[in-house]
Amino acid sequence: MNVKDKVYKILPKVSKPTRYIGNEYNSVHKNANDVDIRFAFCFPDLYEVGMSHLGLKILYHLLNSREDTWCERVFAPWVDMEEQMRENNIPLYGMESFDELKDFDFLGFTLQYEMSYTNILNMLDLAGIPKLQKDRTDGDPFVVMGGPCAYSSECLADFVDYYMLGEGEEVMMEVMDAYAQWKKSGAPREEYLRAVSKIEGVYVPSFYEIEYNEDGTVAAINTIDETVPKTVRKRVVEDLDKMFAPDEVIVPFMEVVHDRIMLEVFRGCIRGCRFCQAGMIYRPVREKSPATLVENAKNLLKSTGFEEISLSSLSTSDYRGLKELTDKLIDMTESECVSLSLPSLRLDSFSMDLMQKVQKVRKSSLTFAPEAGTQRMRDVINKGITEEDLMNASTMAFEGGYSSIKLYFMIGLPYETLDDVRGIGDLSKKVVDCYFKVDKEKRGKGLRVTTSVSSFVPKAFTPFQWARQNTMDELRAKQQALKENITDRKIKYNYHEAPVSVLEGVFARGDRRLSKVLLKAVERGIRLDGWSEVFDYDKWMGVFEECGIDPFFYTRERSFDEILPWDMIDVGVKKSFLIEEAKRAEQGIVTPNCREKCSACGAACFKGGVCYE
Amino acid sequence: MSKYRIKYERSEDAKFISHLDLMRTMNRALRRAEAPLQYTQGFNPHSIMTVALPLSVGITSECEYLDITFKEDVHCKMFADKLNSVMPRGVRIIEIRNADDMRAFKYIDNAIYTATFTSDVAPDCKAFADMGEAVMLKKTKSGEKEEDIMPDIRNLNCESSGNTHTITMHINVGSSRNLKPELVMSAFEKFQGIKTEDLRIHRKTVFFNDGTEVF
Ligand code: SF4
Ligand code: SF4
Repeated sequence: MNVKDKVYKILPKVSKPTRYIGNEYNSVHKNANDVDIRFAFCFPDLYEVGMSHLGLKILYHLLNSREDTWCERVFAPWVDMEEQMRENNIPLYGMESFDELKDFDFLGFTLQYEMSYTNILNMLDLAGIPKLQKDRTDGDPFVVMGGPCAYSSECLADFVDYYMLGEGEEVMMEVMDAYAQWKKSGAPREEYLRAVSKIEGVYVPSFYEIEYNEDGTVAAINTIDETVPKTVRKRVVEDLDKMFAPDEVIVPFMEVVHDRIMLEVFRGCIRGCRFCQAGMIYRPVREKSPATLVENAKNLLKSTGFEEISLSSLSTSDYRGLKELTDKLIDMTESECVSLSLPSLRLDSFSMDLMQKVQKVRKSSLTFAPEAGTQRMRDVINKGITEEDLMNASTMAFEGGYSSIKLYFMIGLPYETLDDVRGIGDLSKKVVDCYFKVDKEKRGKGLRVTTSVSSFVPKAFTPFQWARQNTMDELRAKQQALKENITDRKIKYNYHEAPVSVLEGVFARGDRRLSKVLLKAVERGIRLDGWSEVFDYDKWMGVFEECGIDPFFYTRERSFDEILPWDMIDVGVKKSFLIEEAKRAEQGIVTPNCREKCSACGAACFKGGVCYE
Repeated sequence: MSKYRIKYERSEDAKFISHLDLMRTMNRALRRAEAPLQYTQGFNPHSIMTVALPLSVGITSECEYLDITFKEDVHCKMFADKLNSVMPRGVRIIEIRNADDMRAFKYIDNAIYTATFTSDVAPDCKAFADMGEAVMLKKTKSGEKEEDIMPDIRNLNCESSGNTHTITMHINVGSSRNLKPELVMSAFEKFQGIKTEDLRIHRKTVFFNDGTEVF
């Protein structure tokens, strides 16, 4: 029996079978005999999460635009499906062809968050492909990785053949060209790795050897010989208007997290909040022109039939063409009965107007992310929002008829005191007061303020990459202190569970020695850590103990002169700038954003974007 | 404003799509085909679509029907071709007709299904019918209850070739009495000790209460 028949036999026994069947409109089906390269785009999480991811859509259609390549999709199976697959000896397969992954040339994993790492190893296990890079030989696929976590995922270095750092639109085509050439030549496996290591943005970890000091810190990062670059710089696409952007995307059968057209208006963020990895690694900001976006939107609507368009960026209000773009989109969407959603807007009068215009539906809730409760703390993290901003915005929202506001905060930030934490409660209360100051006639009924608090995790390539992460006890004490300070019944207080954050922090700043922890964890059946109903902290701690590795070594404070495990990677933003920012954080000095004043962070080396506006 | 009735087929590739997901899929396909959809007024405009006899997950069909309201007339044959060119795999438009004068789906009353499977024991339709009653646990909105399904079975026919068997069943379906073909199969398992392997259920024909086929 072939894989498809076997899968169809077990699907009646699993929940949400459409996760596993493919065949959606705009999915690409080719004849395997007509292509030279078979690429499995692996998203290490469930279908509905992966299918909401813009990067997957772009690279899937980009690769399939090559005549010599067929790119298919693979997602992590949910618990019930995995059980059925293992029981019936069904290997992991490409969703389009139902061919097993062993038959592919590449498995490409995208690294979006640390808690998906175990899924990667589990997927390799389900595919029957050797997990360790050194165990793979002729005939095995190459396992490659990219995505935002690729810059600092040394804990995966033993499993990956190479990483693609930065934006994939160009480098992906180059490594495929190199592969086609290598395949023709019949040279040994290593030759291909040699060839791609010369391509900018490609990092081949097996060409680097790490020496450690007695205290466990990194002593040196050595290349295996002179031909290997000492550092690898990420790739960015200089001109987004000329970049590949698919005019068709897959239309899922089941409802996925983002079940709509996503228009990527720009990449990067000018703001430089010090806790934010995205703000640093995507530098410099580069925008698409409204004309490009409108054209793309038109084509996508036609090719998909979606009934909603959403703008996608880190901070939509910073898009300089926002007015022009939204004017044109509103014209277009009204005639086609399409709705437009605008996430990541800053609440100012322009965006309020805009939302009134596009939101013909019931007024939903507005979100605001002050991130910290006191001005002192917001200065530390360089979040350029004042209490006055928040009060003005809230008043504006309530006057506009909204009655529900969501506030996002973090706890566990560097230099934070319990007073700062309690400040979150005070600020939430002030938003409540705002509501009651607004005319009864104007404001909406049924006030609800939701205060959501997550735990800060220090990330590589941010000014806080040297900071100590709060322990679980500290985080819990802070959660408790805040809880006691929120007494107003109009405020709904939510917080994320601390244990996941702690573990995320371990892998976010890990080194290669953690690979054996990951291996052992998957052996013990750990995976799907992003799903609270599956996540098991105690099981994890058992694995660390078994491996003789102290997880808290990785969450400790580090000194500026310590060699960091990811020092071979160059994201453009210089370490000296990050150190400077870390010092300014300690003193509570804010740094202007890229458009106010350039701080010469280093990203100008990419020769484009905001640095040259 | 005109109502159109679309007859379509759902084959193996589309049998795991749930009813709600299929509605969304059809809606988007209609938008891709630039159908002159009539939308409802109000806060959350949506097209006006009714599906006959929602199909259970896992069942294929060659006679699915949906009614859709257009704000202007279309040429049925041409529009069917256009719609077919934008359908996902596994769903194929068979025919479209103007439905302004057609009977509503609520008059649907009975249907023919086939169930094909392999089993060492052959099903015996005559013996089954001769039982006179077949009490099964039936899932209802308010829970489960025991019920005799025999009155809702109009006709059964068994055919075997080797250990592959096909049961053709004509049963009551629709808004008044609704028997599911899966339940008939469970009854065969229960009363004749058949262990079905590789069971495939397929909807063949749907009738109104006056005995006419929908179309
Ligand atoms: S505004 Fe701040 S938190 Fe948001 S993406 Fe930009 S840098 Fe990151
Ligand atoms: S070089 Fe200047 S403008 Fe460019 S990203 Fe860095 S701080 Fe911003």
